[in-house]
Parts: sequence; C-alpha cells; structure tokens
Amino acid sequence: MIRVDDLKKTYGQHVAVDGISFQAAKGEIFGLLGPNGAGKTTTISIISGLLEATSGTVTVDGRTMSPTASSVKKVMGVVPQETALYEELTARENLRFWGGLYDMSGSRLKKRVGEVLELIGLIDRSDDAVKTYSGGMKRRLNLGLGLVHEPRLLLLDEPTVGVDPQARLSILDVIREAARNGTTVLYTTHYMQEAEELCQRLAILDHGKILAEGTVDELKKMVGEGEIVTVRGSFTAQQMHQALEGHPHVHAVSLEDHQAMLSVAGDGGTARLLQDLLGQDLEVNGVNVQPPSLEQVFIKLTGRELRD
Amino acid sequence: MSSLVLMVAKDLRRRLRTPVGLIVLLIFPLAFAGMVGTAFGPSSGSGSGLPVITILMVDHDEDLLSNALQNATGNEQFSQQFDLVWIEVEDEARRMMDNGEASALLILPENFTTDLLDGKQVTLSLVKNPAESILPQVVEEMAGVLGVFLDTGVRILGEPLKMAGEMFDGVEDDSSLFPDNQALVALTLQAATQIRPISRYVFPPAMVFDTVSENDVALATLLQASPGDTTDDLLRRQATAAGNEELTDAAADDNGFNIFAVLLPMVSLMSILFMGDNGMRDLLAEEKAGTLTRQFASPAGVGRVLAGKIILTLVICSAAMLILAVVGMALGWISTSISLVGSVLQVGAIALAATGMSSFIYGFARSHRAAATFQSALVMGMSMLGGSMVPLSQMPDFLKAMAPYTINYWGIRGLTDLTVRGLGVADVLQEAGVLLLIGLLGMAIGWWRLSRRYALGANA
Repeated sequence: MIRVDDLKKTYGQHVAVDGISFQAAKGEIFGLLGPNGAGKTTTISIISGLLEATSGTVTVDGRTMSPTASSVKKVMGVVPQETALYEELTARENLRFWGGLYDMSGSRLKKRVGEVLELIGLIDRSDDAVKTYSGGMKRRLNLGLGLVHEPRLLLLDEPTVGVDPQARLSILDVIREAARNGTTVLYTTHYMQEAEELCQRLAILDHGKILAEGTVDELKKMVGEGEIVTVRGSFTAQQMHQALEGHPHVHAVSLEDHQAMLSVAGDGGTARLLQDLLGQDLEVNGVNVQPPSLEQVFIKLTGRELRD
Repeated sequence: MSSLVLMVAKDLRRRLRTPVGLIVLLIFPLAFAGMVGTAFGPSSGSGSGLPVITILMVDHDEDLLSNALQNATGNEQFSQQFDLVWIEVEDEARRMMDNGEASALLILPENFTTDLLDGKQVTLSLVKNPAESILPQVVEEMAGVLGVFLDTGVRILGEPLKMAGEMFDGVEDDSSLFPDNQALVALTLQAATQIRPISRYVFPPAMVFDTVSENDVALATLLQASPGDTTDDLLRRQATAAGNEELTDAAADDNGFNIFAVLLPMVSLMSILFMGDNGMRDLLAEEKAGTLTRQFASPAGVGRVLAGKIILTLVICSAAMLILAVVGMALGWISTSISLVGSVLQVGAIALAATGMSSFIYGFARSHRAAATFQSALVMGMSMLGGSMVPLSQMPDFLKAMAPYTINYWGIRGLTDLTVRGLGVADVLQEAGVLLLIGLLGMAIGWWRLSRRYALGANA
C-alpha cells in the first residue's frame, strides 16, 4: 500500500530525516516510534505532501507522492497532532466540508458523515458548535475528519497527545476499526505502551534514522527473551561491569553509575544474578524485575530512555 | 462542488457565525455619513447641504448700493440658502440676536453708498450668534466675499455709478429732471467700457461661437436641439442617443447637491480597505488553528487554498460595498437611477483593489499583529491623502498631488462621478482601470509571496 524508499530531508546542515525506508500493507497499522525531534512529523509531512523530500520516494498504491500529486492525496487521510477544526462550525458542518474537499457530495457524503459521527460518538452533539466541545470530543472529531472520505491510507501524527485515558481508548478503537475495514494506518507516537497495544509493526526512529523495525515481539527479542532486571545502588558502572563479566545468564542492556539495566535469560537466572551481586560487595538498594518492553529496546538501541 | 466554492462558502458561514467585526465595519460608514450628513444635510430644504441661514440686516444707508444689495439678495437662488430679514431699528435687531433668532446680524453704516463711491474706507459690522458655530462662520465668509465684491465693483464702476447718482438726483420729486437718452447712452457706454475687460470672469459667456465638425452638426440634429431646451433636456437626449438610459435619469434627478452622496463614498472607501484585512487575516487564523496545513494536505493543495482566501476577501468587500449601496439607496442618500453598469464596474474595482492591498500586506507579514499594524497605517494614510477624511478641495496643493497614489482617490472619484454627477460607465473607466490595476498587482505579488512561503513548508 505505502512504500517509503531512502527518504531524506535536510535543512541546510541539519538532517531531519536520514534515508529511512519502510513499507506497510493494506489494513496494517504501522507505527513510527521515537522521541520528539526524531523525525516522525517530518516523515509524515513528506508522505502527506506538505513537504518535498530532499531525496527518496514515497509511493502509495504504486503512485509517487509529491506536494502536487492531488490524485495520491485523495486516497489519504491526515490527522495532525494538534486539533485542526473550525470551532465556529458544528461537527456535521466540519465533516461535510472535509468530505467535500475530497470530492464527496450528495447522499454519499450525507450518509458517510452520519457513519463517522456514530463511529466517533458525537452523533448527539453533531449540530453543536465545536467550540462548545470538551478536549476529548475535539480529538475524536479531529480523527473523524481524517476518516470521512474513507481513505485507503490514514496518517496519524501523535493523535492522543494530551488526551485523557478514556478518550485515548476511544480513539485507538476507532483506528483499529478503520484498519479492520482495510485502511492502512501509519501512526506516529512516543508512547511505548500505545505503540505496543496498537501497532502490528513498528519502526523505532531516532535522529532521523530507523534504528530497528519489526513486530513488537521481534523488537522485544532484541533485549533478550528473559526478564529485565533494573538494579540500583551505590556502585559505579565499572564495578558493575566487572561483577557481571562472564555471567552465563546476563547481558547488560545499559550500565550507568548507580543503575544497571540487565537482560536475564534462563530459569532461575534472576535469583542467581541477585545472589552473585550480593556476594560481590556491591551495595544494592533496589531491584525491579519486569518482562521485556519497547522501552528497554529503545534504551538498548540509543543508550537513553525515550522520554529524553 | 468545486473545492474553491466549498472553501469560500465555509469561510462565509464562519464569518456569519461571528459577524460582529463585519457589522461594525458596515455600520461605521453609514453612521458617520448619517451623522455628518444630518448635521449639514438637506433636511432644511436648501440645496447646499446647509440649513437656511437667517441673517438680520440693518440698513442705516438706504441709498443706491444698499438698495441694490436688497434687490440682489432677493433672488430665488440666494433665498434658498439665506433668509435675509431687514430690520429698521438696530436695537430691535440686537434684541433678536440676543434671543438667538438669527445666525448673524449685518449692519450697513450711514453714508455707506457715498463713502464707498468716494473711495473712503467703509466698515460693515457683523454680529455673530455665539450659540452657533458653523453657520455664523458661513455668514462671515459671505460678508468677506461681499466686501471684496463691493470693493472691486466700486473700483471698476465707481465713475459710472457716481454719474448715475448725480444724473438721477431729484428725479423722484421732479420727473422733468430725468436724464435724456443721449446722457443715458453715454453712461451705459462708459459702464460697458469698464466692464468689458473683466466680462469673461464676471459674466461667463452663455454662448460662444466655435468651429464645429459635420459630426457635431449631425449630433445636434440627432438631439433635435431647440432654443427652449435646458441642459438637462440635451443631456437626456444625448444619453438616449448613446443608449445610456441611466444617465438620463441620474442627470435629471440629481439637480440638487446631496451631501450624503458625497460622504458615503468617502467613508465607505476607508471601511472597505479595513474590511480587506478581515478576509486575508483568516489565512493566519487558519494557520494558527492548523486547518490551513490540513487543507494543504488535501487534494485542494496550496494554490486553491490561497485562491479561496483571496476570493473570500473579494466577496466580503464586494458584499459590503453592495450592502452600503443598497442601504444608501434605501435611505435616499444615493439615487436609485445611477448607472448600474458603471456602479458594478466601480464597486468591483474597489473591492478588487482592497483585496489586492490586503493580499500584498499578508504576503509580507508573518503575524496578524504585523499585518494589522501595517494595514491600519496604510489605510489611515491613504484615507487622509485620498479624500476619505477631508475633501480633496480642502487640502493643500502638495497633499493634493499625492492623492492619485491612493486607492481612496480613485474609488471616491469614480463613485461620486456616478452618485453625485450622475455620469455613466464610460466616465468611470479610468478610475476603475486604475483600481483594477492596483488590485491585480497587489494580488499577484501577494499570491507569489504566499505561494513561496507555504510551498517551502513553513507550516509543515
């Protein structure tokens, strides 16, 4: 459905997107996960035709995308990070306008507007001015505007930023529903949990480059198949490194002074690790044991936490 | 439906949901023209836009010139503007002034005629009503003109007048003293000799002889001019021959001066120029709201979105001009029989010029504050120089020379040609042409700048 090949965008000396490539099939939810400034929004902007790439290509259903390719734009729905709505108009008027802009009209448009209002749960407030809506309602309508023309490709740029948990769940449900109906979804986020819950495949992005790509399980395997043990105490990274050297069950994900994140494999591996650490005169104040997560994948890939 | 129509319709719907700004801009010219026009308007029935001014006259002279003055001021045209009340006793006149019964009191002193003819200095006394501000000023101006007129008249006709005074002295008591024909002819010839050098200025010719072409003769024949025809008759027939029915009615209807027809175009121009901001400002409002970028990502693209905003501005300005014109007509401020084609052309050209100006400003401004500041300064400056605030005739020459560089000048000129002078489409072609040129140029530059800015992805 969508194929991105060696996409690059530079602003003078600054490289915003550095040769990224990925593809997503029909009905797939593909996530671009990365911290702020990783190049997610720039990538989405190029794909949606708002920016011209310095090099590389974007093809949608075999057609090359560019800022003037209106036939490609027609099959895309774009949901920006900030709510982009006409506050003076009602939800129905907003939907009718955006549907009309994508060549929908008459009874088809009217029917589709009704369907979307049902889908986003705003049918009861559809004839009220948007300015009277809560933040969550506006977010849902923001998503609905991207869906009204039944796009084959839906581009979502962090659509749940600042949304309360209930509204977030509602938005994620609508996105899943769209994907079930055959819409390919390209979803950018910096929320690990959201990416894990929603995306079938992910690309982890940092400094304009894709560091890893695959399903959630494939990515998690990059930090091992066992448990993630975080150890805190009065030790240096060097001391911890020496203590773990040659340990059969452990490999370090990240080591810092006073904190180490370790991947532990094998049955009883965690208990054995703790015994060994305590036996080596390392002052340990706390231990946290978790299954592997994307957070640890990101730390392993970048050496820092995603919230950085 | 075309995406352009959709975008403009959507923006107009948004405007109508929050119409306060537009209503204020529409009410402003109507209220301003209404207030000023009512203060100086034709409600009194006078044709000049000022109420009839009452002047008390006290004549201590009762001689040739004061009698001539009484006769001269008795004509119909003069009495449409001034109501001269001749009072025999000065104290009575002063009492009336104290009661506020007149705008001014003018006293002709004793021996006014003889002193004037003898070349002595004569002093006219004018008492102004302190309760009024403008009307006594008008009387003062008029008294000044009278002074100049009398002074000039006496310098030129002093000798013949002196002769006439001597000639007719005692005729009232003894008719045998009436001068013979020869003396009267000599007097007339002397007066005519004195007047002839200045006759072109004092008495502009009602008829001149000129060389005419065959076409002119044919036109005259076509118009079937006859000695009894008035100017309006000829204008009407000329317009009919040219196929311009509106001109005939406008020319015939608008004999009197209508102050509203002058004020409304003046103030409307300023208001329309401010209104242009209202349309283009939406570009930055949508940019802030994120809907602009969202539209750029739609199949409409940058080009059509920008075109939509420019058309929106044009529609707002045109609609505003139309509303002002209709309300002006409904209030009787503008004749309903003005040239329709000329009005559409001129109104469209003004709207286009206002749109061009705003497009230009927003092409360079990066924030609404910057645009609004520049727009306000430009509109106020052009309104000052172009005749929206002060009539051009009241301006010093160096400012008058700058007026043609403003939209207001060409807009007001064209509109008053239509509404006040009752002219037709052919007479506003120059004004409309200049405005169209300004508008298209402004739009082209604005379009170019905005296209570049948004194509570079400043908002992505």
